[in-house]
Amino acid sequence: MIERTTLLEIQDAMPLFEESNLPPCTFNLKVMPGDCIIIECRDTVTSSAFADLCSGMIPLETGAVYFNNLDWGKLKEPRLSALRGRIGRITQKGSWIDMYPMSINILLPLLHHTKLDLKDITSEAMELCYDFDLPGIPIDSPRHLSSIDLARAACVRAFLGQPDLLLFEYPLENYAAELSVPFMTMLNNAQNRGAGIICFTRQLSIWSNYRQNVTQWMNLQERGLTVSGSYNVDV
Amino acid sequence: MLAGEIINPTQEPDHRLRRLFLRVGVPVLAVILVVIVVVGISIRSYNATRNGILRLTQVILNSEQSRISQEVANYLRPATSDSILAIDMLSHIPIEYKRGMFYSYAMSSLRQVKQIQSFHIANDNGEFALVDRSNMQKDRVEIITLQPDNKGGQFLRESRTTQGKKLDQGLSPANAYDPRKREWYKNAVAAGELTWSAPYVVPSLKQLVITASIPFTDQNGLKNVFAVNISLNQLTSFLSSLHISKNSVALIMDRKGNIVASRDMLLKVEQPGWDPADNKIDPKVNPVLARAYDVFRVNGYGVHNIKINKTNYISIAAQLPKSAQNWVVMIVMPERDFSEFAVADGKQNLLFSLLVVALAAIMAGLLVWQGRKMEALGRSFRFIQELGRREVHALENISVKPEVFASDHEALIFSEELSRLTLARRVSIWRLIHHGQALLSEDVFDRENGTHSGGVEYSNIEIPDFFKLLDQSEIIQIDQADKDQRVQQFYLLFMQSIKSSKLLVVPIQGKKGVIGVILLEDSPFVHQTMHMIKIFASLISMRFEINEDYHDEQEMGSSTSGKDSGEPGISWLTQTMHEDILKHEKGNKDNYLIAPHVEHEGLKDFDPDKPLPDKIFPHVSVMNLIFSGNMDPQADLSEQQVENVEKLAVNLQEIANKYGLFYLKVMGGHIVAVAGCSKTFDPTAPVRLAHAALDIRSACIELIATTQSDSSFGIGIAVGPAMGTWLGKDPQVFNLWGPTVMRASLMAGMAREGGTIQVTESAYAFLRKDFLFRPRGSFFVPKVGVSRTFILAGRR
Repeated sequence: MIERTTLLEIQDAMPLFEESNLPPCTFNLKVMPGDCIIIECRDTVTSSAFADLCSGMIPLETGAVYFNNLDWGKLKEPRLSALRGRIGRITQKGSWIDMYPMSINILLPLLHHTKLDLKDITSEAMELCYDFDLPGIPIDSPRHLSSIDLARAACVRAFLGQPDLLLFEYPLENYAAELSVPFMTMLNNAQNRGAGIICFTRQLSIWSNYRQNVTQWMNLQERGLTVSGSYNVDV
Repeated sequence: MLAGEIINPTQEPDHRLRRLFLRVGVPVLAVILVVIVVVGISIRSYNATRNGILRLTQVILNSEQSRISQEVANYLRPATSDSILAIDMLSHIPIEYKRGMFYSYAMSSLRQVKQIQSFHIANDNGEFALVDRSNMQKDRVEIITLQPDNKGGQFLRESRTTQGKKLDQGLSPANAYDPRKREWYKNAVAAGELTWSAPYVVPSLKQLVITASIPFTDQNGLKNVFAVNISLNQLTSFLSSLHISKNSVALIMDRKGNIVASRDMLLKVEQPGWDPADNKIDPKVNPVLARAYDVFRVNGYGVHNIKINKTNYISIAAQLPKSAQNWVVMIVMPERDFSEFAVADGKQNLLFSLLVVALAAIMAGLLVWQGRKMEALGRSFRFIQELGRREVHALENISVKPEVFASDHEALIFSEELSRLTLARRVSIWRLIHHGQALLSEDVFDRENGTHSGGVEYSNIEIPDFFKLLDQSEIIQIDQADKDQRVQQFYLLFMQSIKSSKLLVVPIQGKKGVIGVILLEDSPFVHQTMHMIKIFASLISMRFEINEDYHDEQEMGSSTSGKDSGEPGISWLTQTMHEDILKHEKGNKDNYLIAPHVEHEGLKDFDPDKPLPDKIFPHVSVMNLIFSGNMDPQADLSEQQVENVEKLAVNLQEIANKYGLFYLKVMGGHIVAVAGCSKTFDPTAPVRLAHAALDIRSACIELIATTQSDSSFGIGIAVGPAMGTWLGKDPQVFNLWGPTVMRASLMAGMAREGGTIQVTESAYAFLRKDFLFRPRGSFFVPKVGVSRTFILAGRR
């Protein structure tokens, strides 16, 4: 049984125009546990900025962004970083640290935010790697990995530790054929356990198989965040 | 929420450091403060006492110094004021009486004054007379008179008693002795006043002597010198007799640094070759006196404090009367001689203070202990509050769902709420079936994954020890289930899948005894929540009791449903199909445990020698069983294992034959069984396959229990379309493929826990009348989208 308390709430939030790439308008969004919100956004910069807004990384002119009922703007370190540790995210640029092997890159968030035993973290990461068709946890440096394996590793990192909120920036756009099955399986599992999901996309058709589980379809453009109604595409 | 978070952002920081400071730091600081204050007071008290003592000491020493000065002045008075009196008389009496008066005075003085050694008198004419204390006999004196002649003169020696009686007389050569050439005479005449000689030793007497000479003019106008020899031995003895303090030293020095008198002077005098002119303070031998003298030379008379080798000393330099040649009396003593009792007093005070500090430390320790106790109490209170809140919440959740007591409704809330209350990793509710001969899991809730499963059935034969445990009808807590003989078999079959170790066994009591059991795995709060666990056991018991008749009917109905409902029951199927199967000649056996064949008459004519009329089968029932856990390269590869598997295979063949399956194929760790491979829909096919799946599961569980391996397996059943045909040539192999086969495989793969049978939504639709199911949730199925799956719990 999932406790239905608001997971993420963007409440009349207007980001500082000078310090973000978001349009100067008021944003409102409510994500409940188990929600899956697909946001169609053509502009990759704007989507990244909105993901940053959800992660409490954008200063606000007005309004507030609450995650787990905590106001990002009022939270101070180290609670701020700890709360951010509850978000699993796939960024467009990958955000890999090249000087570390992929194994460290994948495990680093949990190693930093939790006191879990390395063995347990590795075991969980290993299972996720299998789920995403990686034969194990990659240990090469990020630059030596193929782009599809990097995408798989990004998924593993995002799902690792069962985060409360998942922010995905165009996760399947280039690798739908390889990733959609394991990705949507894991997405469904995350939804079932009560995680909130926000996913940015340019290709709504990718989500046709998953449309039953999508709770809200939205658009992010110059006018801000708008509801686009249900998605109906024959596949 | 992340498991094992270092910082929980949803909780206000508990300021552990601040609390630690308040709890421990403040008492410790208070103790340190007390220590500082006590030590400060002790030091200040010690210093005040010491200063007072030093002031008192100075007063005493000044007084002592005055006494010494007076004593020294008195000692030397025969040579000063007494001599002046004598010469005054000698200079004013007629010359013919002068010598007689000299003798009388000298004799009288020698009798009365011990320190006077001798008297001399001489004049410009070279006349000389001496009255000397005899060194041989105590009460005798010698009078020596110089009688000049041409041969250098003679000394007339008269020996007399101190009373003046003449004893003997004699002459001795004077060897041209001329008193006018002697220092004592020349210095006195030159100075015209009282002069003192430097101390010198009289070897015959072993006396340190000084001479005081006073010039005077007699009635005839001749210059005379009156001299007195005073022994310093008596002065030295006097200084030795002074005991100002335990370690005090007193000495008299002249302005040239020569020691005139000191405690050990007499010992030195007796040493041969000792020269009083070299009798100075040696800094190497006596650094304290040397420093005291240096300080006197720099700072002059008075009391001075000096410090040598971390020891404080007091020195006093006092001037003697001018008549005593400006000699200096020096007294040196360690400060501790006076302040020792103050130190002892200070130590005692410090000891008492330390006792106070110790008491304060004990009090502080008690305060810390009390603080910790209060904090623990606070935590406990908060925990009880939170527990109470959760208990109320749990009961409220149940109270709003009365349907949980109805037989046709699931009661997942019991396991969920129990898990939330006890924080157990997994909560499972089991019901005793078949007259207590088997346990059926009604619901298994995994808190970490938030998933429900169930339908696992264990018989008394599989886990006899566990059943014996249940017979005790007591709540039993086991800390290490894998090592406890009573639950070891159960651990291998059920608990090993999540590797839990702690197990709480809570029997569910019904009217006729134990009717089920609640199992909580790895719960950290068993004791605190025991009362709620018992309440839940009672609630679940109510549910079981209310539905007792229903369950009995289901158990009975599974054997009679064919007759009652008019639908083909299992006994009918077994009977009719087995006959059909026996009639039929088996196909190619090379690749099958049960080769593809006609399942039963009237449904499908299936002959490998004839071309298949249809290769598309719209309603095939497929079962897939996947073993896992044998990836360890170190796994036991014994022949016994092979034999066990061989037995299992025979068992599986019997089951397949019993339920008339279309084929049963084994491939590595996969077992695939198919029923209903026909163009027309066979409604018995999924039912037969499900029955077979339950029996196969029992057979596999028995195998695992026997071999005690860590293998686990999952079974998936799907019903739907498939393609199939004979492939290859000599031998030909019949193969089915398509979405239904894949989904059966997926169902098996996604049900890895202890023989769970997972079926697709379509299979559930065909089986729900004959079997008990529990929804597992919705899942994303490739190419299909989101689909619901169900766990086959058992036969109705």
